[in-house]
Amino acid sequence: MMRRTPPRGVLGVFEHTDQLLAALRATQKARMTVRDVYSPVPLEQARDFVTPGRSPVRFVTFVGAVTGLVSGLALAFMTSDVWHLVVGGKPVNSIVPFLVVGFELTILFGALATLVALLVLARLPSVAFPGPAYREQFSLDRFGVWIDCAAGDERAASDLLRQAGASDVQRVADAAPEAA
Amino acid sequence: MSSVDHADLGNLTYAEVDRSVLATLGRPGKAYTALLVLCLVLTAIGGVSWFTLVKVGIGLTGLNNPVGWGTLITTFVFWVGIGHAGTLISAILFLLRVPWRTAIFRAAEASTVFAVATAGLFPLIHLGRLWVLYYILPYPSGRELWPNFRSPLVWDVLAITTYLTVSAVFFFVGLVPDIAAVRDRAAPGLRKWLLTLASLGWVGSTGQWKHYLGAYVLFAGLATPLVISVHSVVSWDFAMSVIPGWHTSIFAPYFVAGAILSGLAMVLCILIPLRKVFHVEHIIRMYHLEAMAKLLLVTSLIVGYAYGVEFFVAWYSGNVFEVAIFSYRPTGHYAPIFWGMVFCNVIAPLAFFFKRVRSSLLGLFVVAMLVNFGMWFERFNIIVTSLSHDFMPYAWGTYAPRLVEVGILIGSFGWFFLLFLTFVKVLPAIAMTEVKESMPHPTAGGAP
Repeated sequence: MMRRTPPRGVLGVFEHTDQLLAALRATQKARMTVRDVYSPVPLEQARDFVTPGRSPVRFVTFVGAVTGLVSGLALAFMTSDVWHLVVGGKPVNSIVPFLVVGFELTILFGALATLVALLVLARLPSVAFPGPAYREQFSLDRFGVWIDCAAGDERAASDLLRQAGASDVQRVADAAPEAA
Repeated sequence: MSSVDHADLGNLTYAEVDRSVLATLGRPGKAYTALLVLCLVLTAIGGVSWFTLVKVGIGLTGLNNPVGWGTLITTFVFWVGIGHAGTLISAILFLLRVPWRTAIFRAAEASTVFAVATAGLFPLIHLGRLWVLYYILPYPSGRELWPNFRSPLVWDVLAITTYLTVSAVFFFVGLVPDIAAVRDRAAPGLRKWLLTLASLGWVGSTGQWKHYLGAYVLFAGLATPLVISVHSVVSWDFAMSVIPGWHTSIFAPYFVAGAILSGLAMVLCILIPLRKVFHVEHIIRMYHLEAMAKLLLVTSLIVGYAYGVEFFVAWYSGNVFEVAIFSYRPTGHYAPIFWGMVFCNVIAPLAFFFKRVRSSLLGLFVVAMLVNFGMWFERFNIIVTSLSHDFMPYAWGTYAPRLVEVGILIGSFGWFFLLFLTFVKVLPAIAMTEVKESMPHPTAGGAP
């Protein structure tokens, strides 16, 4: 995840994923910090360099689903108790029919909780769009590696990205091509 | 999303996929415009019919004793069923890592959302006084009156609204990376600004992808039991009653299989012209259509088996009323509907056993179209015959749809295709991101 520090560093643009992964391995070896990786498709190997581990979305889904189940059952049982009327020969508190209500709300609340979790964790909608390092080609067929470094280290980071095969290297702050 | 989905997409590059799909969003041609106008006209016919029905009253329909549910409820069940293939393809086949879903699931998902949105109108239309719709919603009124949660009709409201909500969320979440791709190719202006809003500022960073994939698999996991439950609940609208021909435990799986059959047929009917009109035959290939045809054949066999089991159970039960209704269906007033159903849903799909038919666009389209008709006949056969021929002969009667019902039925097709046609011109009908993901990643050595 992005940290709240001023935008700085260099951005390497790659055409090929093997070169991108080589760049990530090289940054790790050189003890440089990869601030983010951009790609038009999910890249699991790249993710491990930046945000290892599984997404916690599933925990929120579980809480949402359980809340839905409890809410659905509570709604059905409690509203049936308001008037003790036998309808269609079924008991006032009919467990089997009420499970249908509980099931539907389990799914509904689980899905809505998943949506909320996704939006919160992925920081969407993003008010900072497009951000200092995003380039429009990253949604097409290019991959980007943003190395976080101070002004004095930009040369070393740029060299590393070029050696790995970056087709373009830019300063993040001003998006200007880095001098060779 | 999965990197194990390796549909054969030849030597396409990421840029070529984007270019082909984005070309579908260009200026519409004459064929598209003509179709759009036709859909508008059909929708207008439906709108006028509904307005007339509201103005004059539900007596304008052919509904009367003993048939209180007719074309409107038939069409409701039909459209709910159409929606099922989208969730099957987008969620169930995703969880099963089926490779051929990637190129076609977006169109199928769109058909789900639009079909359920269309289906949702029918209970309101059938209600007559649609402004009292809120009676069925669980809201805290001063009289402390609540819906009867033991009624399958209330389950239906919950199931359909949940299905529409979850399908729409799943559909939208899947679209976000593609909307971002469209946004980034759009010229500056209002369209780009709207696409930026709709894409939620998606940039495809590792953090976003991580949570996206985590959420996507959960949406699929939640949608899978939901899709099974929705048509089960719809079937219980009938099976929970004591009407002969309805009160049977086979209804839930029978309805779900029928729903998937009809949904697959509708998706085929949409995809075949879509790939031709938008020149995306290199992405939506015969391979995809053939795979769908095989799935359609399997579901058709299940449906055919269910038809047979219904008759067997009626005979084996020894119940005179059950025997009477199942004798009436193939021989009585509605026999043409029954035999039309059998031909369209059981006999015609058998043609898919032959590769020549499966790999012919005309063969696929004709059989899929027949199944669409057949599934509407099936709903009509279930609903109307049982009501018109229940326990006591003196209460028997027949029903025929009136003009206003036919107008609404036609209008529903116009409305569904109007939504779909609008969608395919505004947003990508092929999931660019998943298609790209299913291809080998670009590497410097040229190998994955």
